[in-house]
Amino acid sequence: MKKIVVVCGAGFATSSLIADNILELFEKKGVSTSDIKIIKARIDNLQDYVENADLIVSANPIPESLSKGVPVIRSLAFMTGVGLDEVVEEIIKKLNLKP
Amino acid sequence: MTIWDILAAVFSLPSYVLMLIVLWIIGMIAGLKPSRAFRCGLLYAIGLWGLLTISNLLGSNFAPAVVNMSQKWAVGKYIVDTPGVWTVIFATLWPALSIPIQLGVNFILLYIGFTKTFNIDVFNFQFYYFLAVYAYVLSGGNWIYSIIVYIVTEIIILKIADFTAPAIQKHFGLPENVSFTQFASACCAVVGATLGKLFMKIPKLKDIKADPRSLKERFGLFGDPVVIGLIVALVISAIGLWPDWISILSTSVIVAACIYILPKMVAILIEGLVGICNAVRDKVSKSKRFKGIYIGIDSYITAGYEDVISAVVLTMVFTEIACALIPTIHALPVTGLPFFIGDTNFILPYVGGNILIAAIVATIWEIIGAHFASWVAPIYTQGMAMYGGAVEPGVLYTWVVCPGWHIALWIWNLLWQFITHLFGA
Repeated sequence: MKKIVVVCGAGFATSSLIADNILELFEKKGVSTSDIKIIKARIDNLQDYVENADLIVSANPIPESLSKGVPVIRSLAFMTGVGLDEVVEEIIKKLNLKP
Repeated sequence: MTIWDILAAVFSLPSYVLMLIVLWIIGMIAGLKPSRAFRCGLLYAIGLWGLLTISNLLGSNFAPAVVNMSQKWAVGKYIVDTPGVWTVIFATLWPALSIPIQLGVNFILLYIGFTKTFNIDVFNFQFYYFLAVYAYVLSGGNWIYSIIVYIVTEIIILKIADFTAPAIQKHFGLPENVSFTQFASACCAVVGATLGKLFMKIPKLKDIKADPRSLKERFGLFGDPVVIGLIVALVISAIGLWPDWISILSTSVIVAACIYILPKMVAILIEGLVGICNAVRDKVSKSKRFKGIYIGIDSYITAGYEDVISAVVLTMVFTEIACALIPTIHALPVTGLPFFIGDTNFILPYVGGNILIAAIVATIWEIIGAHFASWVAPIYTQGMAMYGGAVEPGVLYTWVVCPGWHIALWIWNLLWQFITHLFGA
């Protein structure tokens, strides 16, 4: 089981967008999503969710004090659509997922 | 049974049922599979029902405390601060109507070169139709006025987004293809570029530096909007509901719970819009016509920058104290606190990242807004009653956050009075 925490400023708008995109593009690339758990978090509550997480994905900068050593991928691609494919490839690589 | 009877029956359905049907259709038009579009509509309906229920619960629990407080102690804070003012807008037809209007107008403006921004932040169209919904209310149900208000708001914000993009990109280190079309933040950038720059001219003030990191650590728990909301609710209920200790404590916890749960309900509602957001975004980012433009996105991506976090915490505390002390403000901000970030973040690029000046300017902005929020409370109350919000007789409601809304609505109301006076309607 891989745990991805998606983070945004208010914990609702952008994080929902990111979560939906990750799942959709994983499915398109033939990556199984049954073993993936995505949790949405508000940035100032991140410490409540970060335990046992494999990856943090966000459009916001994540300070070291909040990420607690969990690798972070930061990108605006989920919002603008520019370079989205590359970011999803990077997520797959970071999580060691095989298509 | 004619087609009109069927339509009338459909439109008399509760808003969450109606929006399920409307978004199902809109989703299919946007190119989603019928099953996916149905799920989108259903999630929107579920989120909407949750939002309305939570707002109404908050209103009915919190209102007695606020009303009793001002009656018993004559403190003049008789207007109830509730997100219900905001959540009822999702129960109108505007969430669906805004998508074709917004994108159509934006496309034309881009085509004629009036703006460089294409706003694809579908969820934050809500800031524009917030005004359109209440323009409909204040004009006694005039659709044309409502649509005019929407389009004018859209045009102004697109222009502001164009002007403010370079400074904001530079300060936050963001790519050059984005601008910020979120209404609250666009207003806040204008305040930064004017009032903020003025403050920077005051000698000595700009030399005072507050360290963002130490500030966040010093405030700790008290920098959390939920905790600030809990404390304010505790004070209000303690004054209003004394000596009923059980009610004092339970009301405070209910207020804190609502502040925490509300965004989660919005998250469900948004999941229903995500499919449509994606369809719009992919069309824009893949089209060659849109090379070299700004893509308008949400401003909340600035949460996480240390200067923003600290400036917002200071603003929340300053504003709360100011609103309690200033006698001409009749409402205390409670449930809007988690959204203060949009009224603070874009002042920073214009004050050299000085968090103290940013917080002072943001507080002044909130104080101005709180006055207007008090003045337009009757319109909000009327709108809530129209769209299924819980309204107690004789009680006024408002929502102290996003000053731009209250000021704009006040102006639109004045203009409507003027028009009706002129034409004697």
